[in-house]
Amino acid sequence: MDVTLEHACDKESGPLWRGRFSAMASPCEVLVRVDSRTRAAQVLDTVAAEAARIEQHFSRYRDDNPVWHINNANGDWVDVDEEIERLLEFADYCYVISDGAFDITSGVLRRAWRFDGSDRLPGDDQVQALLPLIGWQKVERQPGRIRMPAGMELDFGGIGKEYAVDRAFELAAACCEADLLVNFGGDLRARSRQEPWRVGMEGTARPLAGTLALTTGALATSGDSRRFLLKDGIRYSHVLDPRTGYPVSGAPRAVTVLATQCTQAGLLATLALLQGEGAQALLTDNQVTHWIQREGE
Amino acid sequence: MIKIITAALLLVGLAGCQNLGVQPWQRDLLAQPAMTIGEADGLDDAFDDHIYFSKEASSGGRGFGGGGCGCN
Amino acid sequence: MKKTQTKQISAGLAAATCALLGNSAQAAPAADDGWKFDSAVLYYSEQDRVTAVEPVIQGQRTFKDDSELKLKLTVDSLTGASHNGAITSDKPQTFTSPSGNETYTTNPGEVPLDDSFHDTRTAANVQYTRPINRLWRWTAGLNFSNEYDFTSLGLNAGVMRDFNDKNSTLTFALSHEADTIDPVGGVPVGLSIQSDQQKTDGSEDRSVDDVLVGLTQVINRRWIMQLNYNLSVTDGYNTDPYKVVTVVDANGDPLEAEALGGTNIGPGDGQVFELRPDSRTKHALYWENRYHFSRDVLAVGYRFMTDDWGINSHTLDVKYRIPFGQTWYVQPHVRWYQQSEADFYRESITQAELATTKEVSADYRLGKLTDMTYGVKLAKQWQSGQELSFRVESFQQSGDSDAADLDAVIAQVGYTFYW
Repeated sequence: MDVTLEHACDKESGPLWRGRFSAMASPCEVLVRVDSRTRAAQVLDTVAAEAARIEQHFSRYRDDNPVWHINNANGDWVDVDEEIERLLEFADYCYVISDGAFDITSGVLRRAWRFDGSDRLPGDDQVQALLPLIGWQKVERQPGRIRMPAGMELDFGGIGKEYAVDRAFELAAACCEADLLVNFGGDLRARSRQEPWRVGMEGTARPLAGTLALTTGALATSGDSRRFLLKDGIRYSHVLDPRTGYPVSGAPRAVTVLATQCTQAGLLATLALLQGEGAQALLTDNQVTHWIQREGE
Repeated sequence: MIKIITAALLLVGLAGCQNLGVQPWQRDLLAQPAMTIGEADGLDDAFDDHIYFSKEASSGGRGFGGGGCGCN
Repeated sequence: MKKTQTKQISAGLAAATCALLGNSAQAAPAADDGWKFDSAVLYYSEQDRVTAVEPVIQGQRTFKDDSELKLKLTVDSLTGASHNGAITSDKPQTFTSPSGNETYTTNPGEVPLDDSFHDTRTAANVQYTRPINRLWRWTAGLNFSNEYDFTSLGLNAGVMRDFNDKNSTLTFALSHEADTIDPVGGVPVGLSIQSDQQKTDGSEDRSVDDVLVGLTQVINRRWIMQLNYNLSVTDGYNTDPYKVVTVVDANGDPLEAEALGGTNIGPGDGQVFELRPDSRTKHALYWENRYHFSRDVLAVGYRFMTDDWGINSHTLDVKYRIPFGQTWYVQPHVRWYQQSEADFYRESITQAELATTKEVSADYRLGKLTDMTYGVKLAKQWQSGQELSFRVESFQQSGDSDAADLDAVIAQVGYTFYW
């Protein structure tokens, strides 16, 4: 992993350091206000190492991690570690409160849907063939192990990056009391004792143009305006409903949520997106600060 | 903009507390040593209790009233 | 998603997130597995009277099972003079030293002080606290303290229970302390004339039993408070064996011992040993508030105490912590204290009163008092958890008698580190 650390600027509140690296297919950034370069480097190393660890542990693209073992168990029980159990528990909670709209077994739909901006919609038979492989309720769990029908796959992609931000942030926060911002590809968590972080919001959801002053909290965005299909004048969003196998109608392009933790913000954004037309209502009902970007905006 | 966000955050805070108290994730300030009753000022409280126990007719309240001291 | 559910998902998700992240990373400071040491030296000096130097070291460790052990060692060395109880008179007064071997005379207009006052106290405390389950904890402790004329052994035990997501904690604790007083030169016979040196050999005992009931309550993200009720019952020898009460004539001048049928040791020697009731029941209510203003922290403590000696007192303690420059804080401190006098408190006593009185003390600490303390603390913190602090305070006492007027300086250097 290529990690760089630079001295960003000096302010009244002390020197600011910026570390950059790349993980989880995203540019990652750490901002920290500490006196010494050594301390800044220590914080950066902590964050980068945690990002790398989580990527290694949960990536679908590797064949040497627990996720691969679960996905390739062919219907057998697989032992899982305590961290995966906690993530499964969290995923279970999200599945329940969303009535099945959030489902970490829905990743197989990608085999049918390729959101490349084209008009190539999958055939209905293709979609229907995948539906039996989807359904969190088909997954059996016991303390320390999991079993699911052959052919099904778990995908932690909907939680992983935000979880990594929180984990890395908390590890870094525990090793020094400095002001800190951890940003993995736009999902971020920050704290500052006095001077707020100025977070640039360009390219996410509107009307959040310009900058946001953030002292302590987390921002996460779900959605991607570049990923869609367009056929007969109808835009198909990349947000798929695992219960039907088809895109959610009326889904915003992107939703950004401000919350205490990044995982919480990310899930609120995702659940809102899955509500389609109801995204706004969900976020308003829950009185969370949010920004929604819809088509044409 | 900042004011609006602050107001919104406050609303989130208020919505979460029908009763007294906070949710576990709202303990950022309370978790600081300066907010820990009995520990915030290290040994100062014990020193003060001892000094004033030996100079005044009152003791106790913060902890036990005995002083283990023949000064009164 | 059903409409009824959507309203609650924010709070539920937040709780689920906390469970996912396991909160441990949040709470744990870097040095969680080692010993935390608080060390400090207190310097306390009264103008013309007592000076004390008190080094303390306290070690604290939280173990993997969340149990906590606290060990504390205190040494307290006192030198100087203290008020012997007699009035400030425009006539000379003569006293016997505590040992009974010498006499000393105070000049007219002087507050009578006994300058043979020096002592070293050593105290050790051990406290262990352990979770029983998710909601209950128990704690138990031992206190030992020793000085040349006083030994104290104390035991305490308590339980704590968390309620309402740990936003409320109830504490119930009991303590028993056994004190042995072995005064230099023997135990004086209360109300007897000092110059006669009527004393009994051996020591006296006192027990102190305490009950503490406390509630700690989180009000909101910025505000936490604690309310304690403390009942303390003392049984046994409560008298100060070194203090006297001046027997005065109609003009308020000290009488001679021989006029009272006692031994003459010099002018103004009509002094009797004080005598206090052999039991005391105190009730204290304590209310502490801490409020976080994002940067600054305000701490306000108020205590009301009342006892069956007739003393009522109010204490108000205010601290305001102002962090600056990332690693420093300055903390001004103001303390105000007021007490009413004990029923048996007299500045002096007449011969007629002496004949009928059962208990009397002229110890100014049992009289009316108003105290003020102003101070400031400056501390520097390091990321490793170390803290170096300095505290300077000015303590002023005033009351009805001259003896109660006292100025003292409190200075303290503290250093916290992890090992």
